[in-house]
Amino acid sequence: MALDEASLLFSPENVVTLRFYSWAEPSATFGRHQSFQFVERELKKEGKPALPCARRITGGGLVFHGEDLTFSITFPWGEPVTPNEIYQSLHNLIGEELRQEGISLNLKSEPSAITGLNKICFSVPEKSDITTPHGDKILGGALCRKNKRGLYQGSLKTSLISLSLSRIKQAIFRGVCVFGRQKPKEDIHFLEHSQTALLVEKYRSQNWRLRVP
Amino acid sequence: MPKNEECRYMKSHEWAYMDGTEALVGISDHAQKEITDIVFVETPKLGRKVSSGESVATVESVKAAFDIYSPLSGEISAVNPEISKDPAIVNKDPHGQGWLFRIRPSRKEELNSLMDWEQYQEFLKTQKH
Repeated sequence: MALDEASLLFSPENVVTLRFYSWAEPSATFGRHQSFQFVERELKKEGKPALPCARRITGGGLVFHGEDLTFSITFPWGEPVTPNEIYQSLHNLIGEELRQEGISLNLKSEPSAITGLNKICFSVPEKSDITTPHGDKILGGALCRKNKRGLYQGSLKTSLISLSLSRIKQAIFRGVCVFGRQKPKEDIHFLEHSQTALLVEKYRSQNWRLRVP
Repeated sequence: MPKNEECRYMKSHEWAYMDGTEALVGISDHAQKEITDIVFVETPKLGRKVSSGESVATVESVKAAFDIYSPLSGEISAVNPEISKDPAIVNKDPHGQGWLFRIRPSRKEELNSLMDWEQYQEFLKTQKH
């Protein structure tokens, strides 16, 4: 989470970055403005009250991680483009690349009936989420804009796609190339340790995790 | 509530309007359209000292969180209590009931560095695709 925010804040203005990451153990992340009480309740309902979890800087709902492919993209967001347009465009392009790999999928065209903040990401597909032809959600994500840059954090259920992990990653990479009109930087070593260290502390802190907006 | 023409604007689309000794702050109609359906607003704490250009609030639309910047330096003197009950009023009436917070400016001259309505309209034209 800290590296994602560091990429958002400290990458050169016009650069697009793409980072794939995985989880050391089953975990959860939740939206920037979701209440921790809601998250605790849902973890208990799932029978996972002690699941490690982190608050994201992006919006959106509670996501359970472990068997998914997670990735983040940072990009220039200077023009007047709505979050819906960005979300749809990105998912369209990634979806198209997955179709080229022979995967059948849909882009959900209607918003879900659930409104407000307290959502669980994969329980109900939202507008422009990628789903199987049967409506199971394959890819969902969330966004944040700071200054003139955007951050997208996505979670893709690999178990719903019969494609190797490397082919899925390549399809995402190609989609992001078209989205960002450039080859994204996957190596973010240009970020300095001092830039990420404070953010690591932030994400570890109870102050950020438990904050009641 | 202030008319569009009476406010001063930031490039990040926040507006400020001097109301006596305090400035009322909100986001422009252009910004609310760009953000789309607002489901949550996190306002700054009362009494917080802020600098102009500092991120002081966030709004969330479906899946996306946006930073809101303070147009002026000073102390937060009030926040709009209505937006926690109905965040959508920021979309419906961004210059009226959807104001975000009040600030007691410590450097009123900063207002002069913000764009007036005409300048803001010109600025928006440069932002088109």
